[in-house]
Amino acid sequence: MIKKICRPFWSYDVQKTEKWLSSMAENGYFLIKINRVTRCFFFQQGEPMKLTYRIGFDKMQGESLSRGLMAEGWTKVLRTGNWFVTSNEKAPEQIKTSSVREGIVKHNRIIMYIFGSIVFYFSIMAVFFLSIFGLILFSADSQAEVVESPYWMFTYLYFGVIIAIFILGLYSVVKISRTNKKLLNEKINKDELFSKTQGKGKLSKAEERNLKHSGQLVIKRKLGWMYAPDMLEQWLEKMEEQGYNLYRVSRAGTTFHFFVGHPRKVSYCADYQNIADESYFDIHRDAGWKSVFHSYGSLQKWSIWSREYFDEDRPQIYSDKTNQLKHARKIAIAYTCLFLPLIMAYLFNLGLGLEMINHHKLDKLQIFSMVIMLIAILSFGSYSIRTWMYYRRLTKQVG
Amino acid sequence: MDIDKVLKKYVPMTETAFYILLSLTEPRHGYGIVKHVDEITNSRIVLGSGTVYGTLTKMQKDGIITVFADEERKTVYEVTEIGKKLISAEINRLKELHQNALKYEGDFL
Repeated sequence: MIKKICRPFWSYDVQKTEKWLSSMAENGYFLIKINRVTRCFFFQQGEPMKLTYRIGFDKMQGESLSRGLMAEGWTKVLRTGNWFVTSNEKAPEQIKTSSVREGIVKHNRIIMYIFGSIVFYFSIMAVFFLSIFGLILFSADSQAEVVESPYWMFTYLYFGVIIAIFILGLYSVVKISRTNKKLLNEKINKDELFSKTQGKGKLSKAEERNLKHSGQLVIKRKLGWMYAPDMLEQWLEKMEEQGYNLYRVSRAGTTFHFFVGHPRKVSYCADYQNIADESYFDIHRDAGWKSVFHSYGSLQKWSIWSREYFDEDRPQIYSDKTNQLKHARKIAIAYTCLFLPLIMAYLFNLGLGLEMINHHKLDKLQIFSMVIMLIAILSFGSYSIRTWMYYRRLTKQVG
Repeated sequence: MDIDKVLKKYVPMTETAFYILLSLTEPRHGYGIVKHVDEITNSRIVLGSGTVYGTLTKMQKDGIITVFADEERKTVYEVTEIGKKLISAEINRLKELHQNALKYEGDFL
């Protein structure tokens, strides 16, 4: 007998879905098929059995599981699109290896961003609409009058659909951000462990202020280092050589706090990744690098790594320079794509303004806004040019 | 990616890519690869962790390697069937190189 159960949001909380699949198996229902369009699960009835399920997401999956997983007793139950479901007869506590979560986290994050922007768009529209509506409704000389008509139904339907999409979007964003946090926390949070066992630990705000007053803590600001990361590396290394030991970097990555300590030889590396997952942090930490900073933003994923060294050569994160070169070009292209449209738009506006100056038609405010535009063009332009200069410096190093 | 495309894209392999794939005779952690390559090349090649991460990510995208999580939820890398075919093809190419090197090295002395 085949049983069909619909679970529209199964992929938002895979841990819950996995537990549910296990409880179904305990009642004698075994998963055989998932329809991703109708969000329905199909079960075959059989002898009740204890099974551990694990859901995964991988764009490049072969027909069979990896040997490491098969050796652990995992079998692939099914595959649908990029999703796959595996099961194991062992209890969860006994299982050592399992499929990774990163694919799911990344996939759900994309869905979250899409819904997030829909919610944002609708909110702006709602504020706009309501304010106009309110203005008409409450103004004294309002002439608005509601006319009876069967076509009002379409208006209601339209708003109904919009509200439904809005709620769905809001639900998706909240749900995914919560479960993604849970999925990432399946692993012991090493960052916390690291700062507790190593390093100097965090000082309180008051302690920091005291140290600052007594001159033991020095604060330096560096804006826009993302456009020339190699310069930042050199600067930090020179500071360490002069006895300024980096203690922490602010969350925004612009303020650097140094202890006045002893000269050290420390290698710094500022690295850009489109999407950095946990394994990225693992490999660098295992290799002896300390994470000094990583950005939380979704657009710019920068991390700064540091490693003290003594007699050996300066350690580097990139041993293969051609790899790094491609990387630098990616950075330069990314920032150019970001700034070029803005520069063009401002240039166009500026051109219009200049024409008006010729006709003496400008007031003070317009001249002020033109100056602002000019500053914007120059700074955006300099950012783009600096990333390309960074690329050129690297090319020279390699060649 | 199918095997023909993979061969076209990766052969001849860079020394870095070759040694990273060659060290996957058994599933290893990212840093395990760095250590293994250090050992088998007598520290001639010390791979940077960023280089290894970048190469592994690219290889995973192309279906040459696959990953799973171990007890500590750390990522372990394993070679796939396509990856095995790739490294065999590359080893055959290197064998030819080696044989010819031996055959003709005397003429240059």
